[in-house]
Amino acid sequence: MVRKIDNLSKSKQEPSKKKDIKAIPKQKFREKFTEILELPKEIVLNMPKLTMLGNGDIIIENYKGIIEYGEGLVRVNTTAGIIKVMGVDIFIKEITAESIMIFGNILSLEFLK
Amino acid sequence: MLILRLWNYISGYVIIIVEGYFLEKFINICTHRQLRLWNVKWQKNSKLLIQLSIKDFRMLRPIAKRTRCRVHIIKKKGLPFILDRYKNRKAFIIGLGICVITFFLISSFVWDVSVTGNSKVSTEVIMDKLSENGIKIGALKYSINPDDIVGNMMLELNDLARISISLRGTKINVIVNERVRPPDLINRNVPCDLVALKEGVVSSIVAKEGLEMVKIGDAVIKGQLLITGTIENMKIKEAMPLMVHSMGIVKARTWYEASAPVEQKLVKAKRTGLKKEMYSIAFFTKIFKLFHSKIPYNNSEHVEIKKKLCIGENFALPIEIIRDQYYEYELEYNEIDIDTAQKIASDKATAIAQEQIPQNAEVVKTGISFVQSDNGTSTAKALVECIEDIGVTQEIGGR
Repeated sequence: MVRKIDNLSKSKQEPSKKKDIKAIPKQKFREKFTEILELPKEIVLNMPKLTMLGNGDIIIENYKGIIEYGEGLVRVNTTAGIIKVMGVDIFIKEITAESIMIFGNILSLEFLK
Repeated sequence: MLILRLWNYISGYVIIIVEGYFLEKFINICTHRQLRLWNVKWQKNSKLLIQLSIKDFRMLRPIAKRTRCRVHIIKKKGLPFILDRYKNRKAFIIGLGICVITFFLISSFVWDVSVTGNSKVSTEVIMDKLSENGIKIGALKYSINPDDIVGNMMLELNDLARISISLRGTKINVIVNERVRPPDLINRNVPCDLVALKEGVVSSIVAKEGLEMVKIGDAVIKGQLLITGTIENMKIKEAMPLMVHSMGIVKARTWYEASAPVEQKLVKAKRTGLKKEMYSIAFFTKIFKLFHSKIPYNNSEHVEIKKKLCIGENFALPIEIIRDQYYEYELEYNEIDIDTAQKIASDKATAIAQEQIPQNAEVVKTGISFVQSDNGTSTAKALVECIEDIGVTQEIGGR
């Protein structure tokens, strides 16, 4: 993982096409593989699974950790990027190693890569 | 998630405030160490309100040290804390234990036995037999086996057709059905006579079998032969008589009389409206009097009301509240006129006479006469005339 992040940061700093090309097919191959076999992505690809009920309650499974928690703002790190949840009177209803449940009046949900 | 909340309450949880600069880090480490946090609320001045279980709270100290956060407990909630509070109250726990034990002890005895359904067999007889079999007030409930006792009772009391014993709480309900005894019938093959049951004047006689021995209008005495089952051979006197089972209906006029004195001076007890109530408590069989004092009345009527304490319908307790009521009364002497007095006396006499009349008799006439005695008092005499069946079968003995 560390290496991957390093790669990304390096690629951002000095864009060399070789490494980018190498990284993307590997991801795409696994994605295609799971798509063909119809395997659950959240398990094979470690993708976050979001369950939302209206705008009042969101459950994020398979998250990595929370990055920021402030008034009306929760940023959660996942493999699909950072999920930014904003809203009024939101709080973490329950948090365990597997899932995080955010409760309150959610106004926006953003994916930051 | 009501069950989850209930579980949290039973296992106990704490509400804490975490203060520090790396609160997100604090939460992440907590979750990585498999702690479950809930109701994580952000507060001003970089504070977090967190709820977590007691077990997880013990693992919090190293995390707080690592993230340089300060942790304060605001509230402790749940059953373990409540139990902890009562740990030091030994007397309370002992009292609770004693209460439960006495409740079980008291409820394992029989405190009330009720017998219903009997009219001819007296309740005392049934109660006696029940207590011989082990059912009595104060008996241990578990030693009673209703099925066995029912069997014994049926053997011992012949007059019962059915008996049911049910144990409900501390109460025993005994329901009996009485046997209706069949009349003692003489077998059709046995020759018999029809004799008079009581005195009277024969009003009608019909013999289905046998020879009539009396005529209409004859006065008969008790035991007199009415229809005979021995029929003599008219032609050959020496021959053996024909023996039959005589049957028939013999109706006779019978009289019943009763008398009652005519009283013009009536003594009537009248309540004055004053009353005094006294209470006592019967515990098991001992009676404790509560604030009893002397009865301030000369003439008083005593009414005793017993009330058994019951929890629900079936759980009788060995405690009884007895209410003694004393009503003061005054004697009133009333003079009534002769007509009313006579009427009262004649009604009374008729009622007494009516009691003697058997059920199948038909009342024909009721006569009332007044008899004046020497010392000035008079009595009412009621004479009730009935028509009833007086024939009763009797076996011909010896012959």
